[in-house]
Amino acid sequence: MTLDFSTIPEVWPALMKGAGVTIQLTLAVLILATPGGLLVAFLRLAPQPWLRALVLALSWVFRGIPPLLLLFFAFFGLPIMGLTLQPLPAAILAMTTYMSFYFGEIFASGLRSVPPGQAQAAAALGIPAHRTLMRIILPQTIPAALPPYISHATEILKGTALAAAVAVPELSNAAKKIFVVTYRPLEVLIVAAAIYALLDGVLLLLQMFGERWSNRRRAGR
Amino acid sequence: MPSPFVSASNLRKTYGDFTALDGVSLTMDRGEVVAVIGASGSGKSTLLRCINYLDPPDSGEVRVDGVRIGFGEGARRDRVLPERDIRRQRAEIGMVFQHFNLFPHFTVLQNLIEAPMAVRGLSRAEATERARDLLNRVGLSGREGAFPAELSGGQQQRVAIARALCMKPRLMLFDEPTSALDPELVGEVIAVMRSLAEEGMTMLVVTHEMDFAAQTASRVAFFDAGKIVETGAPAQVLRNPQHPRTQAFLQRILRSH
Ligand SMILES: Nc1ncnc2c1ncn2[C@@H]1O[C@H](COP(=O)(O)OP(=O)(O)OP(=O)(O)O)[C@@H](O)[C@H]1O
Ligand SMILES: [Mg+2]
Repeated sequence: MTLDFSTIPEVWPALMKGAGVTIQLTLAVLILATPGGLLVAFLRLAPQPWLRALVLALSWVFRGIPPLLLLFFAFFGLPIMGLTLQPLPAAILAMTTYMSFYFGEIFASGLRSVPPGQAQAAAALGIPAHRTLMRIILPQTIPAALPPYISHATEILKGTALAAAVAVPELSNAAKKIFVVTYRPLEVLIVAAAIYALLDGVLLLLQMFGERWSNRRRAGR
Repeated sequence: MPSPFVSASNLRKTYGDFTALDGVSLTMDRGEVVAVIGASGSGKSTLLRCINYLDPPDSGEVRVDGVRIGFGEGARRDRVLPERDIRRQRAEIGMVFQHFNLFPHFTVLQNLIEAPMAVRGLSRAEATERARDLLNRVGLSGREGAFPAELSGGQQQRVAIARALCMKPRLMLFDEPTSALDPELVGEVIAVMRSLAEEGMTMLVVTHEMDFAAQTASRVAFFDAGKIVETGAPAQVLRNPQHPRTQAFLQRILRSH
């Protein structure tokens, strides 16, 4: 077996285009699922028991079903209910929903790790609730929540390959489209894998910095 | 008859079917220091939290300097205020906790200026000036830039007192301010509280420090099972208790010291 990378320069633009879609999808899900996760976390800790139970049940359902099924639901199922989405938005919707519940669990346990005395002290000083949340409570959840948050972010990157199943032209899909015409799957897949590894490396670097930073904070500086 | 500066009347508070406050009434004159003593679980902390509406009582009312906490004036007299307005009222009442509850991600200075800026609308410069003054008063000038974790327990509690004072409260509530401290650090916190009392601050202090109660308080109230069962001058309540529960409690305290 010999590897022949001579066709790569020719297909490179197509691979880059796929990588671009992968990055787009990853960032979109990250940016949307982060506030989504916060919302889930707040609902998980709501004072109303029925609301907590409802969100817990939803969280269990959405984290329990295979993401591929969610994707099919968003792309093939929603049109029947009157909402037709292009492949990319459908993938963003499905992955955002899925990840929001994952992030929700992470953020909820981060919020639970902040002693109740913190909110009490802020309330005793008369600090408004929203300011208490933004300046007193949330910053204190970061050390506990950041490492699992970033490691889930790398899961999003890998998870984007699923979107190929509904014809999103992301990196894996682009690679496949190329090798079915060049008949050199190995070379293209190796290059695609290298691009994934590179992108993952960026996230791993972020994770490293994040962990080091949050350890420092936990140590009380 | 002039109305008292602080009055809590007939406060009741239940958690499920447990009665934490069973009709508590208490009045305080301006500048008075009242020490609250009583066994664990008798409802002392609950009383403080009901007074500043951190935990609204089921019934009864609290007035501080004529203002009914938790309720509006005039036409809104009978309506519970929205949380936002209650927080504004609460800003007039300082509270110091057993475990300090300083904001660990803020420096000492940030801990002090956060509320004056957010609630009182002070500029950073004004708040900082006020904070430096107070840190000086509690013997911590120069520690503005420290984080709470870098301070001893006694220092943290003094910061917490300064943080409460930074709002210029009219009433100060202390919930066992020295109970979490190593014995050798209790004195420095008590000293700050004494000087505050001498300056005329109205203070309601839940404490197990009998020396503080005896020497600094103008009155002692003994709590048992959600009720004040005995109240009076420190010499009277501490040395010559009338109620059998007070007698038993004080004997236990004496034995453990
Ligand atoms: N938020 C709450 N939910 C349920 N029960 C509560 C709550 N707060 C207080 N209690 C109960 O009310 C009772 C009185 O509590 P409180 O904290 O006022 O007692 P305390 O006199 O301050 O005791 P300690 O000396 O231990 O601080 C306790 O039995 C406690 O379990
Ligand atoms: Mg207590």
